[in-house]
Amino acid sequence: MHTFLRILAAVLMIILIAWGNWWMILAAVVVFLFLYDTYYEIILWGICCDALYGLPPSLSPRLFQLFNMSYFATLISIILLFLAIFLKKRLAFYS
Amino acid sequence: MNYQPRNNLNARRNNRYIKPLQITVVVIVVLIFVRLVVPSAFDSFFAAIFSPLWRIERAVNGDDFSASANRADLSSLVESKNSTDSVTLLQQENVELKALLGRTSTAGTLILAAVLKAPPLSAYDSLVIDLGSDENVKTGDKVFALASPIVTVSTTSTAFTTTSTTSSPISSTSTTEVLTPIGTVAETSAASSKVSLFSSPGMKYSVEIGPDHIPATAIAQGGGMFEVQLAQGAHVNVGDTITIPDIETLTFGMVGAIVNDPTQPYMNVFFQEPVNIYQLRWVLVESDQTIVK
Repeated sequence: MHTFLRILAAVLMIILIAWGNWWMILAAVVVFLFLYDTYYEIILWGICCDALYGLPPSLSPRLFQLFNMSYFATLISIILLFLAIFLKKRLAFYS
Repeated sequence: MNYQPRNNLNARRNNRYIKPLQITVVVIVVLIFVRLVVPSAFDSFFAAIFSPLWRIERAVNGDDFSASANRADLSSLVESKNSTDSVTLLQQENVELKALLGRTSTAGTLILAAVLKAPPLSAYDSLVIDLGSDENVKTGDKVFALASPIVTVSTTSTAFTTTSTTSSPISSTSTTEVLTPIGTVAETSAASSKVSLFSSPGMKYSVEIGPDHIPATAIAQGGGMFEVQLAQGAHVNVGDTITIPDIETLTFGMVGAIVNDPTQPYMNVFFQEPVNIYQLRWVLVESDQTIVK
């Protein structure tokens, strides 16, 4: 049942990345981060967003870049993952 | 009552970081390795998955045109819409004068493309269009949209309708639509391309403002907005046209607001593209090739 729900969450994320606003994607991953123990998939969704919509550094100078690609969403996803782990350790609900 | 020793609790808490940290490091290493070996691997992989989904959406909305005849018809329709009689005459005269002076236009063929994804759905100032390397679209190709910067409103006061005996004034609005550059193709995959919009935050462009052709550097702010700093006293008004200094005069934007603080040595001029990038459904890609699938 747990795996099935996790797959459903992945399907929902694919739908949101394809048709949703960026803030919907952000809201969904925040929910999943606190719903699941460690939501590793968030990094995949970050890479996916960067690959689909990211621009080369020469065309997006204000965003985080590395090796001729923007990693803005990937960076945000990694930060959110560790932030969630950090917060969960300090919330009485998860202890 | 037994209490867990504090040191063990801290150690267990710190252990929670180890596995995610290991996975993150592995992902980053793989990401960098793949990016160095096959630069467009991720782009092509995810574009192959998501492009069919976007095409399904357009098909459901009735906007899909996969047949070459439809695309060619739509391209010619857009081009014909762009050329009213007077505009065509002026364009012809312009081309002839440039030819006399030894300067010829380098414009390629315009191919119509459907916008699969546009801001604000994507957080970046980028579009995803349904033309890719299969249609000979290349990185650096210019992308245009139809804009309506000039609006002429005429009112007829004594118009009668045939079905009614009452007279009513009818207002007709005629618009002269022009092609305006909105960006360049940033990356291409087989069946789709990413278009970087000129308004991508931080980008800088040389522009000319108003009838005096005041040279300036426009800094993109995102969302189709730009900012220019000019010296106090520069003759600029709201509604002035912004053009790109080139042999072909292309409308880049219209001055929307001027913020003038007398205590500052400069004034800020804000302008926007004459097309709403959030509502774009079709764009034209200028390609050197004439192959249309």
